[in-house]
Amino acid sequence: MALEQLCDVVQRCQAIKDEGFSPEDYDLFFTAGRTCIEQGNSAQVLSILVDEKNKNIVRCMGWNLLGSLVQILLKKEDRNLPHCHAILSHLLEVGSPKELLVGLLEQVEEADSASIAETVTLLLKPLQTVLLRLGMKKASSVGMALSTLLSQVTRLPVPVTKEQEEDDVFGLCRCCSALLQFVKPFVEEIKEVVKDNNRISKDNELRVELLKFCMKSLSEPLLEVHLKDPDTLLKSPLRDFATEILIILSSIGESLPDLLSRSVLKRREVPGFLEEEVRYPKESLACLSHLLFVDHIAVDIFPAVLSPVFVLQCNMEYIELLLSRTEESRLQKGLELYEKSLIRVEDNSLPVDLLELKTFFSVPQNLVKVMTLCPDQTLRTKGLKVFQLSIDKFNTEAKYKFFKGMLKTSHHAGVEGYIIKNIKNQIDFSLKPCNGNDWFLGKYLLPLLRLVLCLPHGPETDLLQNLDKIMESLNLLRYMLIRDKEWENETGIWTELYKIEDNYLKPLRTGLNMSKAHYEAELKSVKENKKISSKDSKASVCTVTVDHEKLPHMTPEMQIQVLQSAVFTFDLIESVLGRIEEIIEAKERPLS
Amino acid sequence: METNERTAVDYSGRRKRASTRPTKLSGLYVLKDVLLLNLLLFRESFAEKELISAIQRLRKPDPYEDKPLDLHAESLSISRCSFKTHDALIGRLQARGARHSGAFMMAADPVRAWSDEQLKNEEVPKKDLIKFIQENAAHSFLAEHKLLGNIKNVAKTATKEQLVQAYNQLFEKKRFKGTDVDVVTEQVEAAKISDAPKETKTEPADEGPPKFTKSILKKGDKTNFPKKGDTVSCWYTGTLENGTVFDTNIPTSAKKKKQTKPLSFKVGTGKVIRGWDEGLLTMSKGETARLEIESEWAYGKKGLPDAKIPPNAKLIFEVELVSID
Repeated sequence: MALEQLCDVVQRCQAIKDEGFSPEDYDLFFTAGRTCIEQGNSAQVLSILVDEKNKNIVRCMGWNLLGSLVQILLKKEDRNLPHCHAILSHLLEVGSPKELLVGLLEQVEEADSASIAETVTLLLKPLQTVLLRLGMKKASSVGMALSTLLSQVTRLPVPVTKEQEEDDVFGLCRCCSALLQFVKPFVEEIKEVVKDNNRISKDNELRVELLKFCMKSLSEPLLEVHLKDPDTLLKSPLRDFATEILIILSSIGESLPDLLSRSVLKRREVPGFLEEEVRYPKESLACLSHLLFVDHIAVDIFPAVLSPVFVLQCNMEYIELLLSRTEESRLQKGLELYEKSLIRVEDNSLPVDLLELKTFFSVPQNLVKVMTLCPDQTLRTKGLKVFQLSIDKFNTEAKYKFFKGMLKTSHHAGVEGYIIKNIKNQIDFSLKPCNGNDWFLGKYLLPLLRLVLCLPHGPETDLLQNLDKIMESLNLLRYMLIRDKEWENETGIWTELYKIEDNYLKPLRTGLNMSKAHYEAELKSVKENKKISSKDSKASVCTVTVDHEKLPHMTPEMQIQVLQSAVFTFDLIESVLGRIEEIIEAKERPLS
Repeated sequence: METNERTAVDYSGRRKRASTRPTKLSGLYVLKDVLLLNLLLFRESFAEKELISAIQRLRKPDPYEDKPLDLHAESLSISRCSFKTHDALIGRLQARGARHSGAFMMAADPVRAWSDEQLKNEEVPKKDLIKFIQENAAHSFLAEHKLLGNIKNVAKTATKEQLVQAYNQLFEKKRFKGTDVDVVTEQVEAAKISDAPKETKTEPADEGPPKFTKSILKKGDKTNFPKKGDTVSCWYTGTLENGTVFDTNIPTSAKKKKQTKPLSFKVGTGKVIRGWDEGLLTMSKGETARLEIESEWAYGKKGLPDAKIPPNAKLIFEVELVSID
């Protein structure tokens, strides 16, 4: 039935001149043709379509059949497969390229998640054929095609383990490899232009489309992917994909070092400046940097002569971006990039004027957030390691400025405690012969110490909350009093001591006594309450809800435990404080 | 040989038979060492040898020298029994001690060798006076009074009055050796404390000789040299000392060379390793040179394992400076 309808409409249209087909003609052709193909009469349809007399008809209307064709082809088990393939090839040759393009891309867009990989791998070659037919005007179509394809491909799940990448169940690796084949002729075309003219205009449309494609790939899926090194996985399609993207960038005239340093070098305001920013999204460049310096992708096309400090400066922008995200994969990449960039730099070499740059302060702040707030413990630990590494690379003056800044802005007792430990190490280093300097020994030390040896709320400071900071600062003070002899007083601590006693030690002692008394009283009352009413638990004053779940009340035993450990903590603080007071007293006794 | 009966005073202070000739020890100034005071204030004249051994016993070994000062090795011309030589001896020993030990310096300031009358009477030769002042005064004092240098020359230029004036001023103002900063630094050096801090390597300062060498393989135009901040483009090949090529931007075929661009960057601004920044500034347009860069101006102790550059590696680059913008 449908076949007859098809023959009818075709015959009727043969007579129409100048392709003045009516919408009904189109509809009839579409419905009849579709039905024929679906019913398995593709052989007949093929014979109609290849008929020379029907050339115009095919050119105008042929693309309509794409939908059904593709469905058949995707099923793959149909005995009509060869005919459908033949129909498709013929259509691609003869049909109007623009319409064909639209039709094919529609098919790609409409693919459901289960069949994305299949559809893409099926249609890439046809798309390429059609695009090449467009000749000089293909640039925007290429762009459209690439963007549609990438959007679909990035919906595919990213393999995490080596086995998943090998199995490639969802087809991401296949699609990436296929995409590389797809873009090859277009890249070659650009390379020819470069060869002939010795240069290429930055605004060459095809080049711009390829650039957009590379940038988009770097952001998705490459930023998500964790590449395995050749020792772990010898043949990795994703690694090849990454390598090829970088090579393409290089081939179309983008210098990798220039890309890297975009964020750092001041650019002249050129017309279309905003477009420049859009052309080189920061996230893609961050991925590029990670590929180069952590995964060592395409490292042989990257010059080895860049100064490590300059590389660090460039990368700080990307590290800042990555560390300001919350996804663990981004944080992991940010930490890796930071670590690799720092390792290249000599210890004690980064000068203080680097701290003027915004990123050299915002990155540590982000790092602190990772160290204190990230739920993943491995990331927290790694964050701390990289934090210490970054401190080691600053020179003495920069360390001083950094510590001062962190103490002023951090508001987290653990971080402050860690910084104070570093200050102690620096003072220790400076006291050794030949290491003297103005920052941790001379006139600048005392202002820093005032930041260390202070109680934010005087005697009423919450000692438990600030335990880390207090313990580290007491340790520092004790160390200095023992190490720096009174008659040498290289650090100036002895002359400052009376002020420290007034501003720090005495309020601390008061606070300690108060807190101890308070907690001991609490402890006593809880114990008594426990004895009196062991059965009826008093209704607590407040309830704690976590994630919509009310936590059970603390039993009296738990309360006692908590209070007891608080008292122990105060004892701990007191022991160090007592020791310090002893040392001071001993020195103040006149020499006999 | 004179037969003075001299007796030494032992340290319990018991005097033995006094000598026959009284001596004058006028103008005795600061003497913190109580025993030496005992020795000298009793206006006894002592045998030089006893004096030397007494002083030797008083002196502690020089902390900055391994052996105690060997006073017998002093080549001092001492004539027995003359007052001025005893004082001069003490003065010289003290001055010598001052040079070698701050501790002894604290014990006593130099003592006037002659009284005012003696100086007026022309008893004291100019040369002795000059010698005394030179041995006891601070360097800056000598400089101010133009008493530095060879004694003969000083004697020619300075009059007796000037010398006497300087001598008196020395004692009035106490500008003795050791009161000057330069003596302190001498002592510091003697104590082998180096005060050069090690923090200077942060500055990429122009210290020391350049850490690279250049040999020209092909001459450039010799007129266009890049300045700091200019954008230069170059082709290069980098090898290690053993010949391994670790980096190059020169493509293998000539055809490909048309498709690749030379490396461009702003020279002299710290974007590349220092050897390159410094080396390229010495090249002219069109020049091809061989730069051998020491590791300090390349990748130093760390090397660049990613690019197969080992630690402390000297790098050799063949660079062609194509253009300057």
